[in-house]
Amino acid sequence: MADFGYTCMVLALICAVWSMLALWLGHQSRSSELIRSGERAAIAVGLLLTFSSLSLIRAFVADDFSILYVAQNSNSTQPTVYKVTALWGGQAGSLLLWVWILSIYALIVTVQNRNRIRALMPGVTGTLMAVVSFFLILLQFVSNPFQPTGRAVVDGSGLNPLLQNPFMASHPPSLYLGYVGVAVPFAFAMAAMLTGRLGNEWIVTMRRWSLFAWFFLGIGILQGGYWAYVELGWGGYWAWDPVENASLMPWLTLTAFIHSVMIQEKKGMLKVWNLILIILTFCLSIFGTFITRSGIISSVHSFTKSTLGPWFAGFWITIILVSMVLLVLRLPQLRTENSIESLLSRESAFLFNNIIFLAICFTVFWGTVYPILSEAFNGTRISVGAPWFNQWIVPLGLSLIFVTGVGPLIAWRRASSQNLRRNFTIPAAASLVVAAAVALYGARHLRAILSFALCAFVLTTIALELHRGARARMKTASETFLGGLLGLVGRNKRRYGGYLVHVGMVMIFVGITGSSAFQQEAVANLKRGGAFEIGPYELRFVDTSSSHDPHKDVLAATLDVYRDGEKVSTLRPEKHFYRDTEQPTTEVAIYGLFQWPPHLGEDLYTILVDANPIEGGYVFKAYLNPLISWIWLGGLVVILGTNVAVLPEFDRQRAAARRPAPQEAPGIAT
Amino acid sequence: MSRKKLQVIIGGIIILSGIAGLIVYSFNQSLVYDHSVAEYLADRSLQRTNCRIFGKVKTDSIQRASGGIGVAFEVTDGVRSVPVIFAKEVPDTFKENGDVVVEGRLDGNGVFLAHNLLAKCPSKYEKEGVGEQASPRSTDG
Repeated sequence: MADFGYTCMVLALICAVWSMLALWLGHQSRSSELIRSGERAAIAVGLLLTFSSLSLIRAFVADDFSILYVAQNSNSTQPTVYKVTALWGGQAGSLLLWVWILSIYALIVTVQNRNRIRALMPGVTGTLMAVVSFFLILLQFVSNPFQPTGRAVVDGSGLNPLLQNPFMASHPPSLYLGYVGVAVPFAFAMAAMLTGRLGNEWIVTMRRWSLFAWFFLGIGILQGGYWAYVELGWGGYWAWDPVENASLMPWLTLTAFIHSVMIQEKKGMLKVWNLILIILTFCLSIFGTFITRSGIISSVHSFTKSTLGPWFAGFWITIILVSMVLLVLRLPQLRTENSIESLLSRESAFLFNNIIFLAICFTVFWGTVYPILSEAFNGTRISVGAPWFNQWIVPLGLSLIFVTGVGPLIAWRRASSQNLRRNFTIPAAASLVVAAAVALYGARHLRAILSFALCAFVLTTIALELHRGARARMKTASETFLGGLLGLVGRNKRRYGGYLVHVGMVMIFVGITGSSAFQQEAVANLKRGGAFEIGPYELRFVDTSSSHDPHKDVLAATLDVYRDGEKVSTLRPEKHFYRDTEQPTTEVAIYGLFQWPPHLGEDLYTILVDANPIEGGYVFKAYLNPLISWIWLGGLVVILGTNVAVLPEFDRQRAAARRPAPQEAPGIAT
Repeated sequence: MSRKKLQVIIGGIIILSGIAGLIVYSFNQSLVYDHSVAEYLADRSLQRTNCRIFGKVKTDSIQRASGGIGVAFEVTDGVRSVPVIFAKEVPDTFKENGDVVVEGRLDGNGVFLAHNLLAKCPSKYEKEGVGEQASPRSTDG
């Protein structure tokens, strides 16, 4: 089995290299046969790597411990679902997953465009095959998932119990779909630069791909936060951990990119900027993969150390050099068609959006990379904590919310005072009302008040847009208000899907603000019958119970939750003691979203910290996290909005009108 | 390129550099250095300020606080050690001979009062390629 998987991997590398060669030669000599051959080879790579990955999965499920990677990450008693997820439990398997996903994307892109944009496609497929080749070289020579164990093994070591969790099935794959997805827009950008077709052709074709990557990266990050919240037991969801930051950075630049390409599409501006952005995003995506997988940082995520560092560094430098050289060569052809005329315009708002995203990305980058470099080169260990990150990210985030409200409504080119009044008076008033209400409710943090006020501002601008649009359709198309609303969204799914995404992001901001600014905590050492208070709740320690299963011993404590004298819930925080590791894990108990009826105002989060049966005391910790469920609910709204935005046109006429106009090649320069 | 456009670009670069500079400056002000036990004991100036020490938890040195919450132990580099008191609940990964980083300052009696503690459990696997688990939860003051 190992031989089959390994052989497919080797064949895939050969096909990928041939693909690049054939596409390059085919493009140079204008031989469509060579190009077709190259494309077929790319398709073959996708199929071969599918066989390869499936054979490794089969080895896991069949407990084939003759393969070292299986022995390190699985165990005969491990539940089957975690045997499958063990594929990405370690370094070599994760790299295989990465390149498998990339090869499938390359297959889809090649097949999707086999009869269109023929001038661009060789560059796209070729670039993707180049990245595939790099990873396949790593897999063959540095980190081989099919390496034999070399000796008889009775049973494997098993997957880390912290990873044996349903989120292990969805969080890494989602992130990988996103990380890897960034390669496709990058490939389109490279192809555009290689062929000189620098108009909107590449932008329009790769738009759905960038949304797709953005979507999976975003929900991957949210899932990671949720997993940390319900599993790790420290009451929070984001620690500015280097690996967390590594996933956030490409998401930030990708969000900036998605917005700024709209400006290029409509106004022919920011052409050079967009190329730089997507190259930066791809570099950050590779960087993120590298940080997570090279062991350069110890964090909850990096379970391996290895020699991948120099390879990735080399790859990174190559990407930057090649793309920068191409960009400089193409600079004369990247002239902007319009320029910014006024600071009060939609173009400016989108530019501010980009600047803010980049400032946030820079902050995160500096805080993540500086300590690493310092330790690598000076040997000094430094750390910078959450307070520093928040010091910068909070004001930048607040500015971002503001721009989110202004951008979609402000006029193009130059906003007149009439336009400003018409669009922003009501939202501004709404935000003042909310600010006053929040302050009256007792909040004293200025930043929290500002945050809620700005969120109200954005929500009002969106409501205003929907209201005006629906009413216009009521008049022109004689529809009801609801019909008008649906018709409005249906005719411009991109725009209104985008608004829905903004609503989701606002909900996330509300959740972040509530749970950060107003969190409370309490600790108590209790004997049975004891109680402690947090906020309006009283928690009474009733009893403990123990249970066992083949893998672990479980100690559970029962806490009755009272509010205003009435019992509202019973919580059971637990501690799990796994037999084969010495470290206990914590299972928190939360009274919040997953209740009926759902409790959305706050989460009551309880942890069994320590058990000292000798003295009879049990240490409990409780957090009150106001509004935290809005983060997860906001995530669901973002999912809905993105899906609306990418829906295809159901009306053929409108679909035809939206296809990119065929472009004249500006001289066949390469 | 028109003069106006040049102005905009230069203005933009100045603003962005300004922001970047501020970020870097505030970063340098917020840095905390990790010191080994030996460094810490050798340098008197460190002992007067908030600082971080890394080392291992000395075997047989862990004592629970009498109230149930909190712990007293010694952080050691194998040769010398510093007594530490941490008055909050410890993470699951805190155990004898594990890696630990404590942040705080020395009190008048030579005991390090920590307000922040990060613990990593010792590596369990000898094979290269499967490494440590880290639990950098910090209970911050």
